[in-house]
Amino acid sequence: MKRLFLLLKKYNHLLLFLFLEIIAVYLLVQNNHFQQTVFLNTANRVTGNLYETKNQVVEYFRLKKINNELANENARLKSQAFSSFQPLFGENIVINDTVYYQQYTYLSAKTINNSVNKRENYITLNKGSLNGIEPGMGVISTQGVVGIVKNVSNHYATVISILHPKTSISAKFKKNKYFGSVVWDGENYRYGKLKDIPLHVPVKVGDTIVTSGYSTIFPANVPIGVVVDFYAPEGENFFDITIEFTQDYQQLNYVYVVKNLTKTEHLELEKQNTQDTEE
Amino acid sequence: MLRDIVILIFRFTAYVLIQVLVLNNIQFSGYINPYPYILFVLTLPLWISPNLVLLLSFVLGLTIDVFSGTLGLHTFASVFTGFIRQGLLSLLKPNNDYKSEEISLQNLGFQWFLVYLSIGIFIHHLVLFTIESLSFTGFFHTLQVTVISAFFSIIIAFIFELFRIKSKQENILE
Repeated sequence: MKRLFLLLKKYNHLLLFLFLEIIAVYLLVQNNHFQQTVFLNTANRVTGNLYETKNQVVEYFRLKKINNELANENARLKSQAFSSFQPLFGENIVINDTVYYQQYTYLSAKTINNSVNKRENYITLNKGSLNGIEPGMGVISTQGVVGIVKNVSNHYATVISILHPKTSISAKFKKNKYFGSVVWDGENYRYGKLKDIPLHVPVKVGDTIVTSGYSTIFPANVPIGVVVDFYAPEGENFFDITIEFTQDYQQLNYVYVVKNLTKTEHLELEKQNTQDTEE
Repeated sequence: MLRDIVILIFRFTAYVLIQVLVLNNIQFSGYINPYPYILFVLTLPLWISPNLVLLLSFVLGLTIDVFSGTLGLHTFASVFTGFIRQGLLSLLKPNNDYKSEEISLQNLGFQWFLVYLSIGIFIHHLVLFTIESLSFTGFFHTLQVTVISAFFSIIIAFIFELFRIKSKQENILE
């Protein structure tokens, strides 16, 4: 026993070192587990507040650009608004228009923390569950897809960016509707990969890639990127396509959180299919 | 002694804030990610015991981690640097031992400090980026990022050091 204590005393520095490193590895493993919460990182009160203060300062330097973007978006939305349409048949005919129902609602939020230089990038938004944000909702900007909400606290939400190895977004060509999935290879934050496009599809540099709308997360036809390079790897049935993201993720500021009002209905229906085949 | 502790706490806070608010936002093409905060560990005065150095490294790494959303990553690299610091200091010991308890550019000269800082920062960055990329891309890319980022970290750490010289002169004047 005495010897043990002597040994402990002799190597106490090394033991402390190993002990602290084990804690670090434990934290690392815990935190990297995909389903585990990243709650402690940026969504909690202290860090959230600090980043919000920082953002208030930094935002001033980018106001002009943000204003431009918002003005453009306003113009586009105005042109779609009801007031910009004139009735074709005069004002006496009332048409009970029940053909359309609303599928998506949008909630504007501000990014208060963002990164593009890590292997796994997350974004923090300044709105949370009190504003109706729930995990699993899609996040888009005026220029493209941004990511998927992962964790929500009362006032903040963390988003898994498209710049994350586990993110895969269902996408299609705008011109011919062939669909695949967009992933990020972890190298350059401006470029991603489009996978699962078979070799018979006519691909050209400059083709626009948009969301497919097959998932319940994003509406269809939200821009993602533009094809900049592609080739057919030998012995494979699918193209290797590199796309440039339309949104510069370093310049992210205001984003929209997408709420799909028919998500449950959609998933329930698809669940019935699998149940039927099981029976 | 008390004044030394206050200065250490001030430097800790300053390095963390600069790292988190300014440097974490430098994201030039994903290659330049300087982390000069480790200067704090490397320049802890000699009167702090090796065990306390480890604990302080742990706290520093954890603080950076909580703000960068990379729990465990900086903690690991920081504690590792705190551990090798001991060996590095005895390896680089000047002929006539360390004259003062302070490890600073001012006390030990440009050349000595450059060598010490470069080795310390390079090892820290190598550990950091290796762990970060462990399951993802190849070693060459990691090495590239390490070298480029370490280069910028060393420059920024030197600028931090220059501030220390200035504040000392002011103190003497007082």
